[in-house]
Amino acid sequence: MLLDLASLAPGDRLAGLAGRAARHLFLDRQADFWLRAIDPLWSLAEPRARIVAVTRETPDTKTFRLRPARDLGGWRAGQHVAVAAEIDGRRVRRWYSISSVPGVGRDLAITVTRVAGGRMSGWLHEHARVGDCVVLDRPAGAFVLPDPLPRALLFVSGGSGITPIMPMLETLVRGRQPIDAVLLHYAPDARHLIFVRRLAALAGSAPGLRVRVGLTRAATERASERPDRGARRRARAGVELVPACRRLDAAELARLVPDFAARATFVCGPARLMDALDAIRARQAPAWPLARERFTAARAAIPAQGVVAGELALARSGLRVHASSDRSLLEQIEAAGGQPAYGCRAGICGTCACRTLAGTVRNLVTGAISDEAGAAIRLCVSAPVGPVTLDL
Amino acid sequence: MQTAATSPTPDRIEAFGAELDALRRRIQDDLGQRDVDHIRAVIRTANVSEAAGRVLLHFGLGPVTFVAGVAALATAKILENMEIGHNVMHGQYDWTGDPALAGRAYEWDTVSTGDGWRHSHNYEHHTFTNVLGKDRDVGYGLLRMSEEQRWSARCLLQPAYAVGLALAFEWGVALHDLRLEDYLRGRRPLSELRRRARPMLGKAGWQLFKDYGLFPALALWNAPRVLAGNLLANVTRNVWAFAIIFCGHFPDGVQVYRPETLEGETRGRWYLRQLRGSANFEGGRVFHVLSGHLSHQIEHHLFPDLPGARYPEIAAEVRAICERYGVPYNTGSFRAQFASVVARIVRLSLPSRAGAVAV
Repeated sequence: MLLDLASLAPGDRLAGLAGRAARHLFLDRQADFWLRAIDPLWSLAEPRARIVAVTRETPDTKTFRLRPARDLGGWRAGQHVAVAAEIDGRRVRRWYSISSVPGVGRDLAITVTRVAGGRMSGWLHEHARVGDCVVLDRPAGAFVLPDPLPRALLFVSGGSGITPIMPMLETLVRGRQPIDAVLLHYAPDARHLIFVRRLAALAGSAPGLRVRVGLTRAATERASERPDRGARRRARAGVELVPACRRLDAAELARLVPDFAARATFVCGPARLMDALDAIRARQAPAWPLARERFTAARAAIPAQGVVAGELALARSGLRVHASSDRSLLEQIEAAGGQPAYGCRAGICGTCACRTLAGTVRNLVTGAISDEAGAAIRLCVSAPVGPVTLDL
Repeated sequence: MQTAATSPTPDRIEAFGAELDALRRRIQDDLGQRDVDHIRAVIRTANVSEAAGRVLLHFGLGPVTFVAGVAALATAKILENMEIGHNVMHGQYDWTGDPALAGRAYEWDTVSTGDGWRHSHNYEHHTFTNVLGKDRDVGYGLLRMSEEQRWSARCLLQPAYAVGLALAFEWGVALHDLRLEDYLRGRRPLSELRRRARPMLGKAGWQLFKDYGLFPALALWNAPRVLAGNLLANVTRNVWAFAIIFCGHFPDGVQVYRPETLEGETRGRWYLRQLRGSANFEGGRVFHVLSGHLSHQIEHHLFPDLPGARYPEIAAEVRAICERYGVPYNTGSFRAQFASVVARIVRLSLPSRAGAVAV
């Protein structure tokens, strides 16, 4: 993931002598400007994509089909892509799993659940329209089906965690090899079940594939819920409804999937779900092959007082140092032997300006907290709060 | 220029600084879409103006299209130099995250390099503003602009130097970045100059090729016209930049400081030096944009990394704060400020009481 974060530089610059000459003559800047004036999608400086379709999956989830300006070079099912959009003047960058199957044209789709207070999901749901452009980085990620395929597979997902898993399953089914796979998916209720149609299509499509859905809110809301017409439809299509309990432990998992420890497992979903599986693995099945896709980085809690320690990593130079929140980044990098550029050492001249790639940083002069990946900071007046990675 | 400070008492100075800090935070929290839209609109204007200017010069045949072409091209170069280049390189738009507006990567369309400018202007000039002996912008090592600077015979010709500097200002800035005087006086080895001068020589070479080689050649039979047009546009931009920049720190009433001021300088005192060391001039909105908002040199020196387009609204609050704390605020019409700068250049070319600091 660190390598992907470090590719914040504009992609696909003009190569060779012609490119260098164009840059010295400012012709690249002019060309980029005029091309973008004709169509915002045509940018020489960075890879962009146009939103070509918006589909509502559930009341709080939409799928956005994106058409990149240039071929992104192919990707594998389960990988994610970084999407950046300008929201109130600021570029916001978030990673989303690609929810469409690779190998079908240039388009790719992301499926985004509206997160309360989420800047990107809020913008996508409320302001993004067909025709808008976003900046798209190359797909990446290690959450992919291994080659050769394991004999038996298990996919466990919760909520929007199904987004990387859906294309993995559909790729499996298309592969026409005999498969032995189980999908265990948890959703709050039938209305909020993402990819209902695709799940139904999957369930009947291959004999070795079993699709099981647990509705976590159903037990508490049974009395007030209307009869679920979808349930009968799903049952006909082969989607089994399984009871969902409050906590997924080894016994419950064994009841649902008796040979889970022998299956190569892929899990993606809320931290609670993934931590539960981690706990089962740690206690009962240390040899269980379990791969997880982390969706949201946990935000470091900023204490009002006290010093917070964490690892400071410089992505380009490879320097790693134990850092604390009571001294500036500049001082701590220098103490570790680094030689970042600096000037006034007072936050004025901007010589030490750089960008964060991950982590939270506090401005020592104003107290402002910055936790956006790609935020511009000045080393001499910023202190790390917890683990931080810098584009240095 | 006075060197004895007439300023508030020490504890009032810190309160003064705190109020400016609060103002800065408030503006920073307010930055958003309209600020980005503004700089993009200026970039669009500059690019369209440059294209129009070049087309008029390349394909036009009479004097009218020549003058119009030069005017359009000069406007584009002025905007790119002042409102776009200078402000973006200060990091005023780093907060947007747009790589095209990243301050440390921006290269501007003049013979001096972005790196050289960032070092000599963003760091040296803004950190040591108006401190004699440390801020080399006080006269650019060429002109005697303060009574504190020592008079010598060559100062007699300084009106001529000023005219020369104005016409070739982009070269003056490039050489200023190189600190030639240190090498000419033997304070630093020449090998270091050779190394440091290489990027600037490379940039200058490409600029000369672009303006006086490539574009004229593309115009075929119109080559002399394009060459003359490019030269005139560059000179116009140079003279304009010279006038704006000299009005920022040399009108009457602006203070210079001794190096001792820097020792233990608190935030409040830093703000005070930036304020008393700068001068504003008045004008309309378009004039402000063409000056890169250096018409608000005071606000620029107080908040160099806030977008220049915000300076007019900040100025109203800064003036109110100055009134509350009894700090003088130096402003006037452009004509009056420029006239006082010209008068200063002429007056200081003549011998006056002995100054301690070398020009």
